[in-house]
Amino acid sequence: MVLAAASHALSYFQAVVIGLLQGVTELFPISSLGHSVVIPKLLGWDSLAKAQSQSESFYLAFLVALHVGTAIALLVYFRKEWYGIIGGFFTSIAKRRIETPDERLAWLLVVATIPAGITGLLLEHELRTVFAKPLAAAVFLMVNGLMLLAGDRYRRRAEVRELVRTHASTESETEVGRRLDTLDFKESVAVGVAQIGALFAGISRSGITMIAGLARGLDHEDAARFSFLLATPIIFGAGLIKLPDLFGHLGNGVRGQSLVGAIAAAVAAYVAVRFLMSFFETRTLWPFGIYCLAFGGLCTLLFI
Amino acid sequence: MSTTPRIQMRPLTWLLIAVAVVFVVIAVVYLVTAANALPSFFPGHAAHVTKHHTKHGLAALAVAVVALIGAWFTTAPARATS
Repeated sequence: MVLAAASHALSYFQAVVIGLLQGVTELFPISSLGHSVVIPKLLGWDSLAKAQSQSESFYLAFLVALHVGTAIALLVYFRKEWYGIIGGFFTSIAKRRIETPDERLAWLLVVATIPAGITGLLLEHELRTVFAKPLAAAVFLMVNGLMLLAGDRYRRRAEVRELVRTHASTESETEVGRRLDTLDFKESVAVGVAQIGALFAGISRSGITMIAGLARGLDHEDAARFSFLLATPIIFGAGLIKLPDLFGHLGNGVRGQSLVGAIAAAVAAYVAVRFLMSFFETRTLWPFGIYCLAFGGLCTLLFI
Repeated sequence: MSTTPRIQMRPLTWLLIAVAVVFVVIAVVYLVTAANALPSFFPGHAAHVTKHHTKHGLAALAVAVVALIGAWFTTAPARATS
């Protein structure tokens, strides 16, 4: 009975649509959680929209699979970086010193993951049940848009240019930025703390961490790279911790849809990260800021 | 001939080990004790809730691991100055 109810509540078509949406929006700085709340409501899939803010539902088990799919796509795309980072992590522990760029990047990621990791473990459930609702997500999408626009402007300020000037830098066609491995641990913690904002549906994890990276003088490409590397353990960890939900009673009737959705999310995420790494070589956060403001504003008007 | 010990226990090393031990104990308490049986000063204590706060336990365990790794780093011999 429960199995039949769950499989009727989520069709394979819906699984593919939401999987593609999750894969793209998790990495574009436009909030996957916000879109996964707002889009089902716009499409009239009310049972899915409501299931998000319930403390237990089949939809949360389904989302676990999508997160794992997205994280696998990120791991595959950045496989060379992760090979160096994981090697650097263990060699630094063996030596008890941080000397190479890979060792430094490994520890920058560890340090930046701790604040959001612990906050997520403790508060994710509470924040989701309170804020993962269409109107709140639409308002936070507008806030996200404003932050993206403000973050891009802040990158041009004199103090940020001074940060770039005083550190080893990289130069692209359009921008000079500080090298990623010149971030210090306090700055990395600041990026990690910023990531806590993404626990609110509508605030983008990649957007907020990119803004924090830009504010410390990284160029757009390195800010995006750091953001995606930082997202991988958090998304993967969140997925793994909740995997028992998928294999428990909550997953009854949606395991097939979850597999299909996860494959769709992985493909979409791989295409999205390829596109974005190329996009940020020459372009900025402005289009995403404008989109979030417009889409969030429109949804706010519709849901009021 | 004097040699620098390969592992130097500094005050910070002991402090981080103590922090790690405390958090391992906290993690074990969260993982094996239901919310209604937790000490009242523990976050998550609730008189009528019988589930375990597994996530709190994992968070405490993560802090313990980080503290232990930090302790390990502090044991590195000082760099020779040129």
